[in-house]
Amino acid sequence: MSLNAEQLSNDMVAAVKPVLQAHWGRAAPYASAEAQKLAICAVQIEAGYKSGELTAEEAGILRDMQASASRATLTTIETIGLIAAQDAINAALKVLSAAVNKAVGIAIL
Amino acid sequence: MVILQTPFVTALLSTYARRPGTPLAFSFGLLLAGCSVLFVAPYDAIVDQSLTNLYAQTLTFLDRMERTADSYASQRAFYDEAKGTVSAIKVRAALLPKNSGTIKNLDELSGQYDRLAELHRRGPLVGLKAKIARELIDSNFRSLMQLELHKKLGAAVGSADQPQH
Repeated sequence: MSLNAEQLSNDMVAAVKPVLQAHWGRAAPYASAEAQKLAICAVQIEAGYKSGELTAEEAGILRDMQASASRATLTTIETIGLIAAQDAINAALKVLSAAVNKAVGIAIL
Repeated sequence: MVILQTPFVTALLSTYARRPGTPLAFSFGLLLAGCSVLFVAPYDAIVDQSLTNLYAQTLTFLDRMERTADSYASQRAFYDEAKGTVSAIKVRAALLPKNSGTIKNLDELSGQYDRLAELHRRGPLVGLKAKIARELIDSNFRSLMQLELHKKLGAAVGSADQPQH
């Protein structure tokens, strides 16, 4: 049995799509919700400082905490992108491997 | 990148290298098909569970502080224990290759306990400052737990046991 490049390509894309959709479906609401929450915290810190509810030192510490939380969120979004790419490539390679094994007639890979 | 190249594939490549064209392309396909890539460390259930436990302990502590308004001096042990737990999780996470995202976020979480302690030294953890600090520490935990969820998700896509986080 010979390999059909067009069919193989379609099968590989079909394997990749649900993987990317699954990651994006969870990453997008997370990124959006975190951005919103961090923005609300920034407003609360400034309002609390202006109203006197927070001292300058307390506001400074909370701003540092906000910077840390923002860095962690960005690291997570960046790493999710890597995980999505990794899973998508491996899903495509799995399809390729199955197609080659079928074409050769024995499980060589 | 992990490359699994069987002796059969090696022999095939050597044979077809002398005859360019379709067989060579076929061999290249074989080589590619034997690859899998690793950009990020796999899911680790122990890291995930340890983070969940530390998160629960931290939320319980913050709730208690809001209720009792205890001083930093009387609660110092919590910070020591929390930072110790983060260090232990970091050692575990560092055992896996390509885990820099999780390790960076654990460093950030450790720093948050230092800042929370600093805030506590200046007075009881109550009111607006406690509310904002809690939301920000929540965000650090969510960052770590989202990463674990996505590591776990990779293996589950298309199967019946997709994680329900």
